[in-house]
Amino acid sequence: MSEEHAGPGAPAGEPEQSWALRLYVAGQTPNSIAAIANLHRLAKTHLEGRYTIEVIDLYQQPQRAEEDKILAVPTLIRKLPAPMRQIIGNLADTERVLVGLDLRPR
Amino acid sequence: MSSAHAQLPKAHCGIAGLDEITGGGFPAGRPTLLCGGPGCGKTLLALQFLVHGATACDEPGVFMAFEETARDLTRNVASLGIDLDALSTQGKLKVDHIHVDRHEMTETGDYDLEGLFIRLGHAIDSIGAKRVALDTIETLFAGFSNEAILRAELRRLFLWLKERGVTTLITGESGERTLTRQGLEEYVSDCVIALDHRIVDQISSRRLRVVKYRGSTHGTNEYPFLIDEDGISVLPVTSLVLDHEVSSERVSSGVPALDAMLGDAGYFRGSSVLVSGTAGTGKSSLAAHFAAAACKRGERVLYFPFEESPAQIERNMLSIGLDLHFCKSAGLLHFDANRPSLGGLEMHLLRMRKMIAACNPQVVIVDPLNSFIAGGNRLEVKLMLLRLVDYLKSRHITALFTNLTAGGDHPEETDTAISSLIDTWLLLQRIHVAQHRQRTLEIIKSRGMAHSDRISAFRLTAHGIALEALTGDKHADGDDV
Repeated sequence: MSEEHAGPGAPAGEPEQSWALRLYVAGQTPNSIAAIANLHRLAKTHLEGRYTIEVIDLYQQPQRAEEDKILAVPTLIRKLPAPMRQIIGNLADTERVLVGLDLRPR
Repeated sequence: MSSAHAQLPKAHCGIAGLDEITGGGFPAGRPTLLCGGPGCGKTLLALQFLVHGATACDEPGVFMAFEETARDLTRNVASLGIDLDALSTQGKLKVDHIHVDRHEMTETGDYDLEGLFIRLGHAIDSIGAKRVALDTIETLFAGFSNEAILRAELRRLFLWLKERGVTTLITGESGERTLTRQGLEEYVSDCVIALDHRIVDQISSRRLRVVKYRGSTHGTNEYPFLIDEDGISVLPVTSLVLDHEVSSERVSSGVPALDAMLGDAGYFRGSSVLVSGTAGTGKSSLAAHFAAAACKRGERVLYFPFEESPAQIERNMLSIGLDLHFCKSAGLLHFDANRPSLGGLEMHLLRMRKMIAACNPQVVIVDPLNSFIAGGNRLEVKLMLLRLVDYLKSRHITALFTNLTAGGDHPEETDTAISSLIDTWLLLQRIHVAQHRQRTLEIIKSRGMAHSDRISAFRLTAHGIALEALTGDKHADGDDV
């Protein structure tokens, strides 16, 4: 594992591009807690200084499930940079998360 | 097995025949599985169930569409007169389209489908839904690769729906060796209904079967159903009881001399009349006389010609002095012409029942019955006629059927299969008298009235049917050959 931020899939020309990540969870389940922790760790490692994370608890905002078309929980959405990416699961498989976020080549 | 007197509460689906087969509808507050091949009518049935709940039972419904978008769905059922948009704005129905695509997401560890539960729960709460349809939930198997999670979540979902007490219809595609591709029947054990669409001899027929219904009696046969501009209708079966009210009112046959032979009064209202005879003996003419007489009394007549077009019948009858066109333009005579090959036996019966219900006639004419016999075996034909006759009697409709018999020594024989259903049976024949053939009419039976035993000469004149004593015959036996 490399400590570098810029993998082949990372933005080359605009290193300051900001990342907007949104994580949907449902209450304080083990999967929710794991996903939140995994996401923060991963973002700090790979996107230091250029990311925002928004966590939405669907138990608190149930209408968001339909509005944002969420089925599986946890679901991570990469809102920015475009195009949108969708990742489900507790984000335990870091390699797959990086691939899913286009931080690693597919 | 529990006894029948503690019947489960049931939710009417609003499809008359189906509510009869299931003894009142689907199990209320429980899930029902609806399975069948593509295009068999699952989605439509599920929607009709919800729409009926929303409009007639004060039970709002949630439709979770896994295949069609809300817009497609709305458009598809608009042709059936169902306005999903209006129901949505009134808060009676909510459609949520669930889109799943494996290629749009990456799976990274453990997850569950709590999002689906929250979505469904929120939809149910937002309109106070009592009914839910999941169409077709198996689509989820194409969207998520972890089958173990999916199966556990489906099991949890069905239990959850039961706990919430909503009446749920879950649709599933038929599998090769299982009722549904993903074996959903394993999770839904309360009620399972299978739909089927098959083509036999180029005739398409749709059938429905209640595979199981826990804690309830139900019909076990395959029942034919129809999809037309009114949606789904299933052929009901409960009419097989002999408790019709009988009438002692008499109606004219349209031929005064025949009325005279029938106890001086004609047929009983609400009875069934069979006119059988070989080709060209005047069966249709007798039927048309009866129709015209009914119209003259101001009654409505529904005429099902299966071999001639209405225009042809009108022309032919004009030649013997009957103006059916007049009856038609007065709005009293309705033709519903169909080639018998256009549908199976039951499809005809279903269509006829629908037409009868819509037109509400006092007289129905089926000309000729043989068209059906060509389409099925004798037992089927008899059963079908039994259902038709029962239905007509329950509505106090006087029915006249014609039947073409083959020539031969025993012209009556071909009809014995159905004669037990018939109250008045007339036989038309051609016999040889001296140097020419002559048409004859005789009454083989006429229940509940004194009737003539005489064989009459039957003539078609420019002014209609004339009945006379047979020429050169004092005591006709008919064997003047």
